[in-house]
Amino acid sequence: MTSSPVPVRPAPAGSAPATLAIDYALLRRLAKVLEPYRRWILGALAMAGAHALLGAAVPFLTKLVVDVFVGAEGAPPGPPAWLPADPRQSVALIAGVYLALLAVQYLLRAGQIQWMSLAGQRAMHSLRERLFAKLQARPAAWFDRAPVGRLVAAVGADVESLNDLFTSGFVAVTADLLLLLFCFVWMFWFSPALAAVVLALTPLGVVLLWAFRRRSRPAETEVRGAVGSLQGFLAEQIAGMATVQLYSSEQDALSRFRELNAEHRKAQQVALTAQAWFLPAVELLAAVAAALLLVVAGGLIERQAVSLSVVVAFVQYGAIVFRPLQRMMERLSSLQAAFAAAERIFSLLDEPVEESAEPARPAPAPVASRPSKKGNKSEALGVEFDGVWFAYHGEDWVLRDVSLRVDPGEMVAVVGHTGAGKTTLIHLLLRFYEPQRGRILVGGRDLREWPREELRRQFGSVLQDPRLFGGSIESNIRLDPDAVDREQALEAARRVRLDEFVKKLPQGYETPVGERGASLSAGQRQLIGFARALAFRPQFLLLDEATSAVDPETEARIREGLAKLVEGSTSLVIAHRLSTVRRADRILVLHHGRVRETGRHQELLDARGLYWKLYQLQFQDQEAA
Amino acid sequence: MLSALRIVIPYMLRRRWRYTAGLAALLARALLAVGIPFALGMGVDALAAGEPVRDYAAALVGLAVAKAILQYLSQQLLVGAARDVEEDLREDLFARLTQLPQRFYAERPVGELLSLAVNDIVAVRMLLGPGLLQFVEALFVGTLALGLMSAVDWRLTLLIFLPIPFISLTVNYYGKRTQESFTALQQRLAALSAFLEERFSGLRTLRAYTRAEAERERFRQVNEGYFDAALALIRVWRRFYPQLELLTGLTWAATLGYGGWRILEGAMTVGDLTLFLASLALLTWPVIGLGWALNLVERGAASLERIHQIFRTPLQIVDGPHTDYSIDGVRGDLELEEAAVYFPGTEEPILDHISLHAASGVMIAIVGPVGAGKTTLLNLVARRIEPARGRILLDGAELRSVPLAVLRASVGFAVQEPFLFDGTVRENMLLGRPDAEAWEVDEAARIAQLTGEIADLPEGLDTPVGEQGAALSGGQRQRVALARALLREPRLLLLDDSLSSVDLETEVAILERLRLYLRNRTTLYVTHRAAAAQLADEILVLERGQVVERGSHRDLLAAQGRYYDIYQRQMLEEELIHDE
Repeated sequence: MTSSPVPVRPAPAGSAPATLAIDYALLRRLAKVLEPYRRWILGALAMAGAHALLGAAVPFLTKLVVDVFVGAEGAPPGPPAWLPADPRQSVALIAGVYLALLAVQYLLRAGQIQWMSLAGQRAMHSLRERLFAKLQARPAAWFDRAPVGRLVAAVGADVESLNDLFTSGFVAVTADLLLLLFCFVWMFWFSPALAAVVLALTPLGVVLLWAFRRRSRPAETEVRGAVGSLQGFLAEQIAGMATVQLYSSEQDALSRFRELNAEHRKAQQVALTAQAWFLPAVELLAAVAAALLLVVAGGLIERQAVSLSVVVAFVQYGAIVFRPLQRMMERLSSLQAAFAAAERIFSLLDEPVEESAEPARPAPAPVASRPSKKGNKSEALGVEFDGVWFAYHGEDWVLRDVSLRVDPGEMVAVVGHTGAGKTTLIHLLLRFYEPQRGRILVGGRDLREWPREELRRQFGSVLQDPRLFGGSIESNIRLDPDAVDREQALEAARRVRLDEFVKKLPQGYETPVGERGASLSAGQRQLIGFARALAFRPQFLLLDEATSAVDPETEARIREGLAKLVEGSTSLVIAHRLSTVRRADRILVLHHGRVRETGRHQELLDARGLYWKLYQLQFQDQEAA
Repeated sequence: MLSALRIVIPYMLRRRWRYTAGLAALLARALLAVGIPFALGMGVDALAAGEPVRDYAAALVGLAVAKAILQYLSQQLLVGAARDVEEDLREDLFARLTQLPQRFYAERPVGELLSLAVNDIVAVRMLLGPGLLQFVEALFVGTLALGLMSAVDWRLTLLIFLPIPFISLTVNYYGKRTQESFTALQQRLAALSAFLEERFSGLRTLRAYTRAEAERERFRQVNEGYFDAALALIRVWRRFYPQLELLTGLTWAATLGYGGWRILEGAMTVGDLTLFLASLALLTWPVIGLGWALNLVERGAASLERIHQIFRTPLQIVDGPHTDYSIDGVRGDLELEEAAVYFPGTEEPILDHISLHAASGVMIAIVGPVGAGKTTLLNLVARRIEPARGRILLDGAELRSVPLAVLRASVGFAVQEPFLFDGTVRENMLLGRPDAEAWEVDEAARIAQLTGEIADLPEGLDTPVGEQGAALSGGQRQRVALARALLREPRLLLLDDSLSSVDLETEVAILERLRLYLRNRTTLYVTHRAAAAQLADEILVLERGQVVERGSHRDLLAAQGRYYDIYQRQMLEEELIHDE
């Protein structure tokens, strides 16, 4: 037998559209992705072609054996002259050639799989990298709208099914078509009349395939839909099982489930019926082809227009040419899923990136140089907000005409009730968002004139719930290993008193932090955040104190760590701690997006205004502690 | 493995006629299938002898048509039966899931159970349908072909059947390797996804530290890891398929070489050779299918084992000998005596020395810090957990003696983060009492202060709430859940901070209405708001699992203790919020 039926991985459920419209623009883009690997792809295609050619030659060997026998009997046409005169030697030679052919086919198939899959995987590998880089360059606000799950799926699973489109789609179909082509070339060479019989039946095969697709495609869509609703219902019920049980609606849930389950079975049954007749039909077609061959050959042999050996070879061809049809059927559904995936990937690639990292206008003043590794703080920067208005959505103002200054060396604390707009100040300074009105100056330069990366390097920031990433504690402190060496990291950890805690861990700084830092307490995560900011030796410290409660011992450590952190640096702190506001050079009270009061702790307390109320609520308890 | 297989036997027996008919069709089909090469071989011999071949051609077509019909039938019967088993098994699994206690769910992620009900059951179906079919088919066709071929020439048959077991073994071996590599690849994909998830959601931190370049490098590594796993899979494939082709090719080569030689000897005819070649084409699929079938059996058995575990998980809180079935209703007179609950598997109390009495019609407010045991107390009363010590009495009878269905029907429970199902507002409200009248729904909505907002929704009560109620605000979700609880006309209403996202005025208004509505029902409600707590007949202040203060609002204020502090702070907070 010439080529094995290669089982194809089924398409992931629920991901394919109902139609398989070939989108040429999409194919062109896909071709571009594959372009760098064209040599391998062409090599693999050449091997697939050679494999098909050899496969199509197998019935020819059968014909030769029969010729040898017929020749030995003395009947025409006899074996070709180039075979040995001794019939036994001839048969041995033919069998030897067959074995050699099998060996070569083995190598060709192995080489084809290797090159094709490698090219595919390499292309997908680089496509993933491109996608990631593109996504990384998106503005922060873009991520507010894009569901993370979709992005993850695009880079992960979608790229994988795109690979299927390439390997099991393009290549396999090409190989099958070549096999068909070569078989027909041989057949016509042997006997145009018999070849015509087989060829006449092929359109029937194509019609079968088409009819099968027409019936099975809606069935598959139905199955995907049924699986989807079944899964959706199950996921919801399992997540809400407590409610189901409390309301004793188990019976209702069960009867709804029974309906969905039955729909699922019915949809599967329809798809199964569509499938169940196709394979028998193709095999029936092959048998009809064999029967027709016998009948037609009977007449031809009588007129000596064809030899017996040719008939035997044709019986074998009949078995080969209908097999690609079966394979194509298996592949079609995975192709559909792949086209949908390709569309999602390319549409993601097309979305706009965070506008140029370069300043919009040429910088009028020389850029403050990046702090050296050893961290001199000679060029401290000031920050100024000048009449800033900002809304995340429409006219929902979060900041209204906010003006504030932080001079070099100063520590300014911002306080306010929940929703006052405090954290937004930090988002704007890091240029995650652009203010709608007013301007923000850093080191006397408009924010928009700063190259984005350069700007962000000026700040060391501790956001409210410091994100930890998979890796060790050390790698989390040294988020940027190029800018922060180990010594700096350890020094920073000592200063914020993270050291004492880390030393108790068996693996010390090498201790892995779990997914999103799950194995560490909120307090410990904050300390790591402090160390991270300090090790970075920023010009300017942005700190959003966490409100979450921690045990008194950790609280004491955090307080001390904070003191070290802000010591002698320029900082803007969103304060939730009494110790912090007391230390501040200035306190701004932000209320409903406006700066309502400014002053030092005692002054503001004496004024008995908003700050005094906030103090009662947020800070007074800490006084006692 | 075999013990797990036992659980599907009753399901299969229920379809024994279809299985029998399917297997009979399969046997008949195998017989006919073997007849095809026979007819073909005889046809070729007739051709060689110059005899007419029409009969053979007709036989060929007849055999093929009958075979195709039987093939269709056997497939429909066997795979169809397996799909029915799948349906039943999944239904029984889901029914079991609805009975399992909360603790069971706390220990298992939703995804795991989902995969069980979907993927594992599909694996069982594959075992009972295509797996069984291919296995039996290989057995039938293999035996028959072996008999037929050895009747023609046993030496050649022996030679051909030599590589055949290796084909099945190859498929089985590489099938397993493929599965392993594929699982490894899926794990890498999961790692890649986890990495991306972490980066995309931690984006702000990374940006603030200008990590873009370095992150690309890390991604490169993760991506490389995936690529390596893909290479491992390629390494399996690049041996698998060529080897399969080689082995099947060897059977053809043997037929051609040795068969050719036998023809020259005069021991075989050209027709016999054709018969062998056609038989090989016939055998190839079943032999490959056998290898796959063995994999399906292994996977299906592993899945069955997992499903079996769910069926074996004890149900815990159920009716039993302690149940007094004469109790068919509840008045709502609740009493706790020195009740205690421990953390699972420890003697560390979550709740300790809890005593309270709530005659029907009484409202009790529970306040206290996070982790004080407030929710546990409500769960205890609803018998979602059972006390480790102490007693709980309902209308003077032990709570556990009340039939569970009676108890559930008399309890209305609303929680802080209620679970709304993807349906309309009305459907969610009717969850516990699908037959409630329209005016009752309106009444419940009115008490929950939802009437105005429902009118504002695009389709009123018939507006879809979206997945987990996403289309509603937090406060609306809470109030729909309250209305849902009220519609059950509970004797015992338990509110677990279930109005926390509703503004204070509305919460107070709701509680005031509830007072009227609940005249003769018992209410326990957890709240963080002093203004809401003060409407209760009695306030319990819980701390670290113990009642530290109890009394009326007035008494507790006068005592100037914990409750007093909470009250003072909240008054201030209110003032601040309203200061514009």
